[in-house]
This record gives sequence, C-alpha cells and structure tokens, in this order.
Amino acid sequence: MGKPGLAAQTRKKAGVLDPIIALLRWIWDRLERTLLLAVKIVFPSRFISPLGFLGMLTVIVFIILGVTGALLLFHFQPLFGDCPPAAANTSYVPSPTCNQAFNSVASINNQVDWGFLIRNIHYQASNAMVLLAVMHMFYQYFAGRYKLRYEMLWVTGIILGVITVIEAYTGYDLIFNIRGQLAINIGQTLTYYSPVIGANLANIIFGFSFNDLAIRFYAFHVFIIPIIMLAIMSVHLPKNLVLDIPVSSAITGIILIMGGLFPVEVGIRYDPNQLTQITFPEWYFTSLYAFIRTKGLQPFIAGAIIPAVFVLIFLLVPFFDRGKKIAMIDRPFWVGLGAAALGQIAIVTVWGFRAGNPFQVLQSEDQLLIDPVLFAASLLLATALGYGFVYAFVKWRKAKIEALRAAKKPLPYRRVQPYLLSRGEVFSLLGGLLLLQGFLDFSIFRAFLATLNNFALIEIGMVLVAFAATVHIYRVSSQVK
Amino acid sequence: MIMQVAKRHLPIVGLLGLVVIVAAAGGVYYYQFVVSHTPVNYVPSHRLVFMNATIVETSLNGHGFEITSTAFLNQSTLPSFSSAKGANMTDVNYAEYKGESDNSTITAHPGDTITFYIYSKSVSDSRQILGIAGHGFEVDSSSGSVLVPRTTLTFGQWFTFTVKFSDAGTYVYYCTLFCSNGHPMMRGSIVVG
Repeated sequence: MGKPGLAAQTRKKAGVLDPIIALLRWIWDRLERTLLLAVKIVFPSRFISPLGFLGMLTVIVFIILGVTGALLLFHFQPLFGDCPPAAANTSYVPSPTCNQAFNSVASINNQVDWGFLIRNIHYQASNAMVLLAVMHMFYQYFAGRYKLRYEMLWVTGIILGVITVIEAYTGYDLIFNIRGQLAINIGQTLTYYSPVIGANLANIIFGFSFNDLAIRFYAFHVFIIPIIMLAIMSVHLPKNLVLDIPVSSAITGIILIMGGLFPVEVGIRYDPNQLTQITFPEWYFTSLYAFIRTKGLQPFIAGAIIPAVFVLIFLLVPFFDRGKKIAMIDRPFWVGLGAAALGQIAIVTVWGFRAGNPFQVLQSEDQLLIDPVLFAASLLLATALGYGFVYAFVKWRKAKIEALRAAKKPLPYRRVQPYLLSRGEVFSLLGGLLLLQGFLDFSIFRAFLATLNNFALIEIGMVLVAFAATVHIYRVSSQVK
Repeated sequence: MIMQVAKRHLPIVGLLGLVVIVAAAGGVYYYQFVVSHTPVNYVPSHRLVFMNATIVETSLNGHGFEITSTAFLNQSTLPSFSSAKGANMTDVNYAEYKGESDNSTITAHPGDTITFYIYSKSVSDSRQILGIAGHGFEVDSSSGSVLVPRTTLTFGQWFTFTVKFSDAGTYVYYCTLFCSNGHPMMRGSIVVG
C-alpha cells in the first residue's frame, strides 16, 4: 500500500468536501474535552466471536427497547378504568371503559399505523435482552471473568440482570391481559407474604386498585427502573467496548424476523367480573411458576427465597473462588457448578409450562400442583448429572494435558484452517446479496401497500441480516496478509 | 482491497450461501406474491333462524334457545310475520340447510344478514321464576357493542330481529331477564368467519 499519508500530502488539492471535513475535525477536537471520547469503542476489522461481546449486544437491544418503548408511549393509556358488575337480573356486558390499558394495547396492535411493528419489535427485543443477558452472564462465568479485579463488573452485572427481569415483568403486566394478571397476582402475593414489611411494601408497589397498579407499574417500567439500570450500567460497562456493526445488525434483524414470524398476541382481556383461564407466565418466569406450583412450599419461600439463594450463590462466586487461574480446565468445581445451574434452569423452565406430570400439557386447574418429591428428585438428578459429568470431563482433560506435558509431546489443540472464499465466491455472494436486498426493498414496499405488516417486519429484518452478511463477507475477504 | 486469494477448492460455502440467498428470496416471493392474502369474498346471504326461547332446565339442548330450523332466504323481501303465528313461509323462496349440531351456535360469513324468529315459550315447571313476563333477548359483539338492544320476549308470542354482520368475529346472544336458576347459561354464540 506504500505510505498513504505522504502520498496524500504531495497530491493535496482543494476539494469540495474540505469545509465539511474541517467542520467535522473542529467538532472532533472539541469532543475530546467531553466524556464521549473517554469510552473506547473498538470496531473490529476482522471477525471475532460474538460470545465475547454479548454484553454490548445487550446494550444495543436495550437501546432498541428504549426507542420502541418511547414510541409506544404515544398510544398506551396507563389506566384500568371501571368495570361495573352486571345489574340484577341481567347478563354481564363489559363496559367500554373496562380495562382501558388492554384496549389501548389492542388498538396499538390493530389500529395504530406502524403500531403492530413497534409493539412486536419491543416484545421480541425484551425477550432477546433477557436471553442475551443470561448468555452473557454464563459466558463470563465459564470464562472466569468474575475474579481478579472483575468483581465490580460481576456483582453489578448480576444486579443488572435481576433488574432486567424485573423491568420485563413490569412491562408485560402493563398489558393487563390474563397473562399479565397472573403475573400481577403472583407478584403481589409474594410481596404481601414477605416478612415484617410485606403488607406495606405490597401497598407501595401495587397500590390499592388496578388503576393504582397501572399508573405505578407505568412509572416503574418507563422511568424508575430504566434510570436505575442506566445508573448501574455506568458502573458495569467496561472501559473498552466492542461494537461489531455486522453482528449488531444481524441481532437486530433476527429480532425483527422473530417479531414477524411469531407476532405476539394481545391475549385475552382481563376482566374482574369474568372467570379467568389457565395461562402461563413469560418463559423467563416459568421457572418461578414451577416452584410456586410445588405442593407444600410456602409461596414466599418458593417464589422469593429460592431464586434469591440462586442469585446470591452467583453473586458471591468471586469471593469464594480465589484461585489465580481463569482457564476452565483449572476450575473443575466452578465449571461443574455452572453446568449444574444450567441443567436446573432448563428443567424448571420447561416444567413451568407443563402439568404436574411433566409429560402432559397443562390444560386444567387440577393439573397445576407439582409433586414435591418428583420435582426435587428431578432437580437433584440434573445437578448430579450436570456437575458429575462436567467435573469428571474437566479432570480427565487436565490429566491428559499434564501427561502430555510431562512427556514433552505437543498439546492436542487443533488449529482450524479458515475457509478462504475465492474471488468468484466473493463476487457471486456479494452480487446475490445485492439482488436480494433490492428484491426485499421492493417486497417491503408492496407489503406496506397491501398492509401485510408481518411480511414487512420479516423483510426489514432480512434486509438487516443481508447487510450483516455483506459486511461480513467483505471483511473476511479483504484482510491484507 | 487486496483479496486473500484461496487455493482452488470446491466453492462449498459460496454455493451454500447462494442457496440460502435464493431460498430467502424464493420464500418471500412465494409467501408474499404467490399465496393469496386477499380475504375470500362470500356472496352475502340472508339466513333465517327459527328458535324457541325456554328455560334452560327444560330445553332439549341445555342452552335455553333451541334452534328448530335454519334456511337461506332466496328472495329480497322477508316473509310476512305476525306475533301470534310467526313467519308465514308459504310461497316464500327459501332453501333449508343443516345448522350446527348443538342447535344453539349459528355460523355465518362476514356480510351475511340473519333474521331471528323466536317463539317465547312459558313452561308449567316450578323452576321457571313465578310472575315473569317472558324471556329477554340481546345480541352483542365480543368487544361489548350491542347489535340487538335488550328486548323482552313476552310469553306465547313470536318475535323477529334482523341483523347484518359485517365483521368477522364471535357474537353472543343471550337472555336478559332472570327466568330460572339456569338463566346465566341461557345463551348461544354466532360465529362469523
């Protein structure tokens, strides 16, 4: 490439863009006095594993949630309204002002222009944020990034994760469908039965009526909890951030595609005068639901103490694992513990969706109760198998490596040869992606004309994924050797 | 851009990538442009529904409102009607059709018109509330809007109501006067779709 700087100096000519470049440079110089440039954001020029920056992807999804949530504010009414019961000798007809919060969500979904898109992006992004946060936590756990001066990041991260789930909880309660109502019921009961201050705390958080609840959860969801999250984030975000444009764009695209493929229903309107039906919490709460449904467990123990102990164990991990080594192979106990935790989460999450007998679908109320012996046995089995197998595997692997070291033989690490795209492959793929983008743009336009909202959502998502693929192909094929 | 030049190899990733691209474009093309998304337009029909209103305890289907017969009206004018004898179907151009097996659910397509003919039956049964004038009738949509306002069906008389159902959805018709202990069950649904 030679020396571009020198070459540019000798060939310097006045260009049309010079004033704009000068202005940008002027702004950039002044920005150096601000906080903005203190955060070092790295835009990786070659592909690195997204597992390493799952936290940054969570931040990006948080921003998507902020933007779509702000748009939803324009049409959402945080008001339950009045649901008078039927007069004597008449059949019940719901009043038009009954459950206005639900009605406004239904109108966002069905009537408001773009409302369907924004609501589905908001919903799928909330799922993605919880999922990415959990994946981020487990990746950092297995990578050993919770000790050796990572303690502050780890502890704030765990707290941030718990608050993320609470934020999601306040969000889906605001819809006031029967699913939200189930969550409100469980939350209020758990708060009410917490010791000493329980009853007062329940009144402060949940208020005295559904109208109180609507406006309070609205305040929590759109202001108080996000502000708390931002405050904790200021301590949690590391100094060096990786912003990978193609992967971020792909994640955004996948959220949009999921929103179009699995559009979230408004659900069944909650009406205090009508019998409710069997429903499930969101997937990140079915684990709690399984514990609460276990026969003989006090609700406060099942729904608050057990999850708190689980969180506390992870919170305190750095203060018990004091070893200086972070490789998985040197931490068999902690790696086994993580695997056991994953196994337990999987079992209780799936069981939350199932009947008392986990091989049956939950359909009626008499199937709700879970046999405590069977439940505990399944958890113990998951713990024992997950811990045992992983611990044994790590020990075996370490012994093997040490034996090879002692014998001065090469270690069994395979270097994977990267697949290099040939020139023809690069150009045909880039050309194909370009044609796909053009076709998608046309299809999006036609989908909007035909009011096929979910098609538009899927196709906008596909455009983002195709963009990610284009940039990815460009960067893996343009690295200078 | 200096490209890393690969040795000659089978372009597996490139071919797979092209297959994915073609599949994506083909999927969008098929589902958006080949599969029809315009709703099926039914030829609007006029349905006649004949039913008895009686207390749930003595009704044959356990719904209070028993549909006795259903018919398509093949003419533009409704049959002549008297509250004593109901609709006079002589010289009326109609075609009977089989209704739902529970004799209480009514199905229709969006745009259809339904004319109800209801005979309000007083039964000599101790479970019917003493001293009531008749049954009540109302039709609502699932969101609560009223299609037929509350009407008292005096015992021993025929009543008729005509409603046009423009939108798909589930509607409910029900008794509005407390007639027996089974009164809350005295209802049926109209499925428009």
